[in-house]
Amino acid sequence: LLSASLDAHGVSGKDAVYLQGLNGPAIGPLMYLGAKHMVTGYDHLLFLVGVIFFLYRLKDVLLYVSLFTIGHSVTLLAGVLGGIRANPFLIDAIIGFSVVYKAFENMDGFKRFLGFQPNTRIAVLIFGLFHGFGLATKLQEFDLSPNGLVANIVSFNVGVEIGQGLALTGILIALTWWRSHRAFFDHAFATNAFVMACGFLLVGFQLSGYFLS
Amino acid sequence: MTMASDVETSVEAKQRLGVAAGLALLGAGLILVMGVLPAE
Repeated sequence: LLSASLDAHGVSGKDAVYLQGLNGPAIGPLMYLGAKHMVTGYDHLLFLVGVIFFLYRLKDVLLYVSLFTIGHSVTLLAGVLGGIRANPFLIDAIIGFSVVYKAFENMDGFKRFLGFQPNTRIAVLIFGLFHGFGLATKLQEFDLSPNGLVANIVSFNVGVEIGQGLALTGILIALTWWRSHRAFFDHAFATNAFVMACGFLLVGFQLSGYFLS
Repeated sequence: MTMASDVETSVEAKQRLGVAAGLALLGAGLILVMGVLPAE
């Protein structure tokens, strides 16, 4: 069951059949699929939770989320339209590592161990590129028709942003409520350790898939 | 005295981080080996 749920983040079932048979522009359905992929994308959401965990000002949230959006939009579009391919397991392992990285940073790990803090904005942008490539590899699994491909991929990307906005709103509401309680500061370290464990799990799962496939 | 205290705090924080990261890795590894991979 756990395995099935971990593996469920690809495009599967009816959505896969729909994509496979797609011929021509389908703006609405592709936007829906993009939004669905993001809302149910625990790996992307875990990373976003890590990114906004200690961001209190809306201006900062917008800045970091914009960097992530620019990153994943570039590689999603370039990956599918430019036909750039990579092993999906390795890309997903890097996405898992991005979760570990952000959680470790939130725990003040870099400052403690390295004595300095790597630039978070650059890190979010670079990991955003990998997250977008991860989205691209999911779509590249299908033999997508070139008829209406640009419109469809752009629609999928717009849907991803809508889904991200919806998920972020929910996460921000929950985080804002939690931050108003003392428990936030008491459990922030343990929560990031848990997020880190989830990241390690994703890395391990994807690397297992790579070596066993 | 303050410097010694700072060093102690830093060592304690590093140990705490190390333990947390180790537990996170161990927990993820156990779930993977005992739950996820056998189901594959």
